Amino acid sequence: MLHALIHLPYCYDYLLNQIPIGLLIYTHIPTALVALLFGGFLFYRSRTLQSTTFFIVCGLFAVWCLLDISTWFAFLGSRHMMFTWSLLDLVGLGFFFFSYYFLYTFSTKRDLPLIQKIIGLLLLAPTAIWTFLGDNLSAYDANTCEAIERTKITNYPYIAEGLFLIAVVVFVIVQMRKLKNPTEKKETVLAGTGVFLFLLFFYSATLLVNFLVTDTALQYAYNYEIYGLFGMPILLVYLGRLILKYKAFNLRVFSAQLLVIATVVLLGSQFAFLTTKASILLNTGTLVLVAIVGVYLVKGVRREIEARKHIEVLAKQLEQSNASLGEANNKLKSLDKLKTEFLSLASHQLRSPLTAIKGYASMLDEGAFGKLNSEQDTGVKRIYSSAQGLVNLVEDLLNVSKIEQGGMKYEMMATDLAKTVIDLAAEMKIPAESKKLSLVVIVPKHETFMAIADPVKIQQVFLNLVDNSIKYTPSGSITIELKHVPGNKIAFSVSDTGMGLTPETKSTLFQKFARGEGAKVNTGGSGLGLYLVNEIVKAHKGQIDVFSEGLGKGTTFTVLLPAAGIKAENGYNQPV
Amino acid sequence: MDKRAQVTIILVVLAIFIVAGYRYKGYVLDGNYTVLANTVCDASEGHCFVSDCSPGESENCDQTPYKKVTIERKYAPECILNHTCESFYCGDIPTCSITYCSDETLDEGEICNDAKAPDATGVQ
Repeated sequence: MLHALIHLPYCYDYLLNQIPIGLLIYTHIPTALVALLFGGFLFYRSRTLQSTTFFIVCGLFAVWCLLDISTWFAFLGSRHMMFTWSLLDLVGLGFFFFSYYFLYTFSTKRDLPLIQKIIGLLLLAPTAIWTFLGDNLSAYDANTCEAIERTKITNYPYIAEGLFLIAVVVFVIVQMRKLKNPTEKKETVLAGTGVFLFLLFFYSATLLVNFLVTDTALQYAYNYEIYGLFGMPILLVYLGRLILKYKAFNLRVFSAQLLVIATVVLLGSQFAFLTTKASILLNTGTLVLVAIVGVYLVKGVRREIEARKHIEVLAKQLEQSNASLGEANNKLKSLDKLKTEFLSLASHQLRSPLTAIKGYASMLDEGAFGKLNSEQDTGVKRIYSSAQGLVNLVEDLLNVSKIEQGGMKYEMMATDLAKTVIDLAAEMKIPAESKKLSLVVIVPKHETFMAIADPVKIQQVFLNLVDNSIKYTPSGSITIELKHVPGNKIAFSVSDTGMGLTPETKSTLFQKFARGEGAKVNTGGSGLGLYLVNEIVKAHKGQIDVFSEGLGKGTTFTVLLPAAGIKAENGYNQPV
Repeated sequence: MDKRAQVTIILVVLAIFIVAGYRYKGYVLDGNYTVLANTVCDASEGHCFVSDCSPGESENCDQTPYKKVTIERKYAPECILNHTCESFYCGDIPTCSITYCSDETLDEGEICNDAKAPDATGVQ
């Protein structure tokens, strides 16, 4: 294919004697391609001033590579060769200017100041004018297939390029003093070193070639030019590190893409050296395979990164929700505290008038103010029982607020639970009988049921449970049982044949103000009784369980308390 | 992106394109450049150049006599560029000149084929 393009066979033969064509392709094309892909990728993914200036650097460098290889390929025609050769200095100076421009925008995140732009453009201007006028080349040498440069004019770009190189160094030093953030400093050093090495490689090689051509007239002096191109991969490595380590240009999927592109380009560039059909075929197969696998790899990595991004967003939302929940929780706690304080205060204020009402009602009932007729007697009794209900409610409220404020006092002592139960049974016999309920009490005679407890509070627990059973059992029986259970515990249980409970009710039964199915029957309940029972039992290191097969199938409450292992003495409670 | 940055970028890129376009016209379309070439020289024409080397010592020693041609590309025949002209004379070709060997025209690594440079400047 190449042979069909040969217009000047003499130059082709000359080139073959000078340098291997494969080496020229290998040094120019992959480097230009990688630079262009890298710059294009950055520009495509991050449309910022930094990525744009870097894309221009890469673009101009790639153009320079193509122009340069075209000057080597003079066998394609001297006209094209002269054209491409004439532009080399201008394009080269262009990417020197934009390299500095890129470094400035990358480090400062701002556009280049106007004065620096003007200086940069003024440095470019002479070369642009000389190139435009065609003054930089004097002739085409058909003997060496090279252009003859006008040394005085073509020496100027070396001065300008040198100034840009110095500007890069000065800029990095100034930024090191200005920047406070260590990460920004490191980023600037990395980018600055990359840009400096890229330009230095290029500058040194072209300067060396210029010296060899003009001062020593060395044959094939231009062969040394190819080493200047190695600066670009170095710059790309530095930028790659910036992207991977510091997430420069906000890129994440970069590493996989870079790996795939680099592999494809390297494999592709092998074609410059392959000569046998078998090796070309093998390389083509590998290239296609790598490209296909690469596409899947990049897609997979991108999907994973998107998922990770999504998780990050969710985590952030969760964090925000947690913060607002915490805030709401604190507000609720303070509101709850206020409410408890209010309840405590209100209950104390209510207790005194209620005591007076109860006292006077009792006196009226006993005839202290004269004998009452039957209607008056019924009314007074109602006043008394309503006042008693209110007293109970106030007591419950006071106990709740004491528990919540941590102010509930327990006078722990060795307590004979058997005696407590028997006394309780005697007390509850009348209310049970008044509802025509049979009250069964099972307390084994020859066993002791001693526990470390506050007898008053424990009695209140038992009383509440039995009272509840009587209230919510329309007919049938109530069984109170006291027994020992494994684990050195005493079980007090109250079983009834009453209304029973649904599973939903059971789960909320011990919460404050929770009302079971009984709410329909007993509308006067506060919903605090079982809450208090549970809290008191917990304070005794005990446990309360409730069992019901369902609505209408009765309920069993069981209180487990640790046994004290002390013998009862005449059925009295003893302080500990 | 900042508008002033856009203007700078467009300005530079546009300038490069304008220069490239104008050079394309000058070099590729019009062939406005000088070609320097060596072409076969018959000793009867004048003093020819030969490379100052010994075929036994140097590998690429070609001692074919030659003369130096300077010509505008647009007027140059392809054989000049390919060094395949059997004989070449400027004739009526504008801006064409042939340089023969003389003390003034001798460069490093070459001698006149008669080993003695003539007195004339050697430019036709």
